[in-house]
Amino acid sequence: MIQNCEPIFRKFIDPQIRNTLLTDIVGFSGGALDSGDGEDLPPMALPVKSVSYLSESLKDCILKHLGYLPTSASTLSLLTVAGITYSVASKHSGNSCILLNLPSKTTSVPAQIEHIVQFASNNDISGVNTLVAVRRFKRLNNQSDPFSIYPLLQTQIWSRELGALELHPIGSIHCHFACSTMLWEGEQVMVMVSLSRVRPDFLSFQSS
Amino acid sequence: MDGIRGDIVNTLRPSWLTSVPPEFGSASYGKLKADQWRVLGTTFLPVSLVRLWSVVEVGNPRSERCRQILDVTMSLLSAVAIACSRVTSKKHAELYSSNMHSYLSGLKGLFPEYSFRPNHHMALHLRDYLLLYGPVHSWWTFPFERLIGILQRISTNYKIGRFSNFFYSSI
Repeated sequence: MIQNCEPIFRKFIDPQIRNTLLTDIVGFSGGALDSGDGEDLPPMALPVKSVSYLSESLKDCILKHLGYLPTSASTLSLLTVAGITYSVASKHSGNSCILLNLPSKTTSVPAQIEHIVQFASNNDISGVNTLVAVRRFKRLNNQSDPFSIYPLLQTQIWSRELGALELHPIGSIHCHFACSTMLWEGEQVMVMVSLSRVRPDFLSFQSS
Repeated sequence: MDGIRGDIVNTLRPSWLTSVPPEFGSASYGKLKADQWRVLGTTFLPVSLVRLWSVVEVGNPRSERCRQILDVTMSLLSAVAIACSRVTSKKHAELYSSNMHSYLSGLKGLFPEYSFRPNHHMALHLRDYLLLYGPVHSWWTFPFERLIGILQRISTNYKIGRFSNFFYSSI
């Protein structure tokens, strides 16, 4: 009977249907099947391509982040972590907009994923490091934020300009955000809405 | 409505986010589902309403009225956002309660002739449920409603105990 009901349950979690319930299920099963850290990263195949095919800006970024340039690396267009798919901006711009938790800050900052890079770990030849190369959105200089009086909605205005390329570990990704643009005090600004499933009972964003 | 629909179309969002049809509100489209209302309220409406109504034109009664409606609406949306959080606490429950009370009193102030519905009363009990049962996604009934919806759409032969091949082929 259970076997016969498989199509019903398969339809229940139809990946073509997008809703909160489904992402809850996928997120839960992703965490449950994982060995413990809740991340279902792609297969850990050692990168075999030479880093020479990477763009100069990415190579500079890796060099700055690691202090050395790995001999081989590979790039991914998407990555699934705990049931949520993150993509590079050229693949899916909506899936590339992320909020980053930075060790130097107590708040999340919006950024866009440009590359997802994998390379062999320097001290563990069997291990693979996966990092995201992102550009952070810049803060606005003088504008007042009309959303600041509604902190529970986790919405803020930011500049549409992006900063320099920088590398971060996968664990720095907090969540996705939705964004649109609007004219505010004479300037086109980016409106960022956090899609975190957790609403803090205090304001946890970098104030713009 | 055109402003809100335009914002829905122009908003960049991840692929997993529940889609809200930009034609919502038109008679031809029909009703939104609960999750679509939640996403509309917590993701799209705040941006559109703040853009449209947050700047008050001094001496313009309509603009001042819109600003008041904005603040009351944002209290409701904040209450929804905090109630749907995957983590809850006593402080979450109190924040929910204060925003819901603010919304209801603001609604009564703006529209004195409006009669509250039973759902408005029930919404005030949610504070206690957050404290008693934890985050709403662990006890809301949407998974069961979705499964019931799938079962209802399955064609049957109305003969109890006799399976039909058509049953499985229709899924």
